[in-house]
Amino acid sequence: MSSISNSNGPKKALDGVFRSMRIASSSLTAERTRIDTITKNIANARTTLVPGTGEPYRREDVSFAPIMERAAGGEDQFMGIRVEEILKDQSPFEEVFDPSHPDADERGVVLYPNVNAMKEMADLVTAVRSYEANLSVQETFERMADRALRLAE
Amino acid sequence: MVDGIGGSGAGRAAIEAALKQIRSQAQEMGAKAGGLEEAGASSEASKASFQSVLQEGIGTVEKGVEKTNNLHIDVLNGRLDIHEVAASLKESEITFQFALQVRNKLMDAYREVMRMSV
Repeated sequence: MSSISNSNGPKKALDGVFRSMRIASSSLTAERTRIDTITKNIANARTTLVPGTGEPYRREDVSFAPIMERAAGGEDQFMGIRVEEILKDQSPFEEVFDPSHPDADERGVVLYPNVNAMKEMADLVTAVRSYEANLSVQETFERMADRALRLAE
Repeated sequence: MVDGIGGSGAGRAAIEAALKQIRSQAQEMGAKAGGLEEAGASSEASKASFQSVLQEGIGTVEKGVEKTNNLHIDVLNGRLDIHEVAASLKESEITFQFALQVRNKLMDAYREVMRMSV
């Protein structure tokens, strides 16, 4: 999705100057993906049948991994983070006895997703806080650059 | 010495000595002028490299700002997040401010030279 913080592209001029800006940007993108996943979990909290799988919606979680780039000196340099993969939560589904439900099995039990709304809300709060923290980093960087340039006036 | 002009041999000798002195001084000046010319040539070379450096820098700044100008298409196509646009805008703003400061410094230096009384 991101085309700015794409670290696989050619080395851009002023890259070093805006490094912290780019790292924070990559983190923002990752947090956005996390928030999207949490949104999906909350939206699907009552989805009893996902077409094609034959089972209820399975809770998803994201894992992050650092982006390392081989620098000129031969050392790996941290360039930001990215979403490594979207994991499926393997915890058991919730069983509810409801024979009138169209997705009930022969015992009259309906399987509900393994999504806990409280947990998702807590995750959402931490994701939003991380997002805000990275935005603060960018704001601080901007102020720093601004002050540094004012020194030249 | 002036008394001796067109007069005695001693006076002529004095004139000749004075001329000799002037000639040697001229030679010395010429050598200095040559040196100055050489210095001028070398400053020409450094000027060229300075120019290329400046042009390269301006090119970099222009590219950065231009990249940001084309961002709105990516946003409308859903390829970019809002925060990335904001970050990119800020980046190009800072880059431009940097270029502006360099330009201001150059203009200051130019004005300083022009104000110099000859």
